[in-house]
Amino acid sequence: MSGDLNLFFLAMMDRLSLLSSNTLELPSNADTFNVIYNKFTDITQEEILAKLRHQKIVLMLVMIFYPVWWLLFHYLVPQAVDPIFLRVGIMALIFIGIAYIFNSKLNRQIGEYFIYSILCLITIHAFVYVIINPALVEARIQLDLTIYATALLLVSRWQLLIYLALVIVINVSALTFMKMSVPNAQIVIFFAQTTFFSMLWFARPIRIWSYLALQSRSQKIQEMYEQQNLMINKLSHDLRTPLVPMVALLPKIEERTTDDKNRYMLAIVGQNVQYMKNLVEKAMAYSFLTSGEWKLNYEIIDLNRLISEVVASFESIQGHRLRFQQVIRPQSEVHADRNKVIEVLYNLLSNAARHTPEGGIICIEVGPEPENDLVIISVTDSGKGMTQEQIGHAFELFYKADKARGDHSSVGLGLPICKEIVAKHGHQIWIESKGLNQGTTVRFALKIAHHSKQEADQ
Amino acid sequence: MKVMIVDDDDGVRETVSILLEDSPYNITCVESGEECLDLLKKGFRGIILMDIMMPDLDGWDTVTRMKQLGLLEGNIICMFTASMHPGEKGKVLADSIIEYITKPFSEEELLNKLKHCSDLLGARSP
Repeated sequence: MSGDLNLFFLAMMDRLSLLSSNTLELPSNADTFNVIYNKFTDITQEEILAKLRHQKIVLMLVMIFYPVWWLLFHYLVPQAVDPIFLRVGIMALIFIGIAYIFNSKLNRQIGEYFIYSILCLITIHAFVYVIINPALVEARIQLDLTIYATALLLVSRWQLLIYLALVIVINVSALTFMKMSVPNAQIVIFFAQTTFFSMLWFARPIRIWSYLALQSRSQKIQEMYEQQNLMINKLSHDLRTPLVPMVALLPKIEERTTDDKNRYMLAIVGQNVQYMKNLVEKAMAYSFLTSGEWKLNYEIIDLNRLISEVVASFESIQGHRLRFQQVIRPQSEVHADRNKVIEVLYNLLSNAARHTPEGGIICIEVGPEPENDLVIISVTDSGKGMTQEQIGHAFELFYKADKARGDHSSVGLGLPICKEIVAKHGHQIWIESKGLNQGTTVRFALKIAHHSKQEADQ
Repeated sequence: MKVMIVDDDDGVRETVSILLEDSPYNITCVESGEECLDLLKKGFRGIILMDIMMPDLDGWDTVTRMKQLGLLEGNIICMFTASMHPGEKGKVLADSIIEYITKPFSEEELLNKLKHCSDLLGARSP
């Protein structure tokens, strides 16, 4: 494993722990994180979790190894061991135990900060002790503890192996020196351990540094993303003005034209102008939704009524080419943004209408979902259905399931728009299709409104 | 009924003029907010179709000036918007604006909005 990758891996660990602890502030866009993640490392989340498990195994080994080592020491060189060790040893086991519980059961971050603060205290204490007590016994024990506890902060397999090797070398040499009664052996060991220990502590600044580097990178990507959004917004804005004469005057010209050939050509131009208008409108709506510069205006909506209204207005535009069936559920009041829900319904109805042959049925169902206080709204067409592959791509920008038609009736932004809106509400939207000619169902969830004044005020 | 079109884009001005050729509306076109204010000072009263994005004095600024000069009385303002979401300036002035038309629009939409505006204006000054 290369060093760079290792650094990024460490940074990723920080990111992941931030993600899991819900205190993530930057970057807000999860996609940005994924982009960086995929760009700089080939480590999967599973691998990171596996490495976290390594950590725990090492910690357990340390917990067993530490008392055994001291018993061995006590047996082999009884003159070197002070009774103080018992007190510190027990304290150590309690401390490592607490850190272990924090690390595995509660919050990784809290666990880590806990270890760091204890490490700092013990180290300072140990250094003070070294100065006032030349025997160094307690100081040694404490430094041992800091070193073993550092194992908690290690992550990669190589780090762990080097760490274990060094611990063994230091301890074996300590034992040997003491057995041989080498003068000043304890001081030598103390310095060896301090050096090793401070090396490990260097890992922290590097880790913070790589995290900051990663953060600035993701910030840059976020800025680029915002710039791109701004450009789409500006472009679609400026395209609207030149579209005014085209959209308004083409029907006028068509009216005045009697020649069939000319009318045919005008119809083609008209279709394309309409397509361009849709594209500009949808692109603008989408870039607005993803800009993050908007908020939902929550209110309590009677879904049955809203759907009836939307269907009625949709039918009046569509003509009575299709039949609409509404399956209602009593008391389906939801807590959502009215205009945005209308936008979602309109988009879903347009999609359904496009894929339903003349005389077909479009069914809008408000389904019960007693769990999680949700209502599921489904729009089902009687079209030719979608394959699993098509469903997989359906929410991608500019994706059109029916490429062969090359049709200008859809711009491929309707579903991404719906997804943004539903996601902003904190819910999900998904597609189901039983197969060929079985139709397609798009479902999305909204939260049931409870009739308390508090919520209405929110 | 008098209609004033305030837009820096001549394509838009021409289009609206053509669409309203056979209508009962009496059309005046101006290119900027300043010209609009001049006409109002000379006594224009009617429906004002105002573009938002204009150089120098934009649509919102023009409405603000109208408000300051007391020229809102007897007029109805309908904003041409290219964006579906009024910005901060728009929110402040929302009370003074009666209608919004989103660009691009069809002949039908324009006539409907104008009808609504002229009905309101008629009701205000019988």
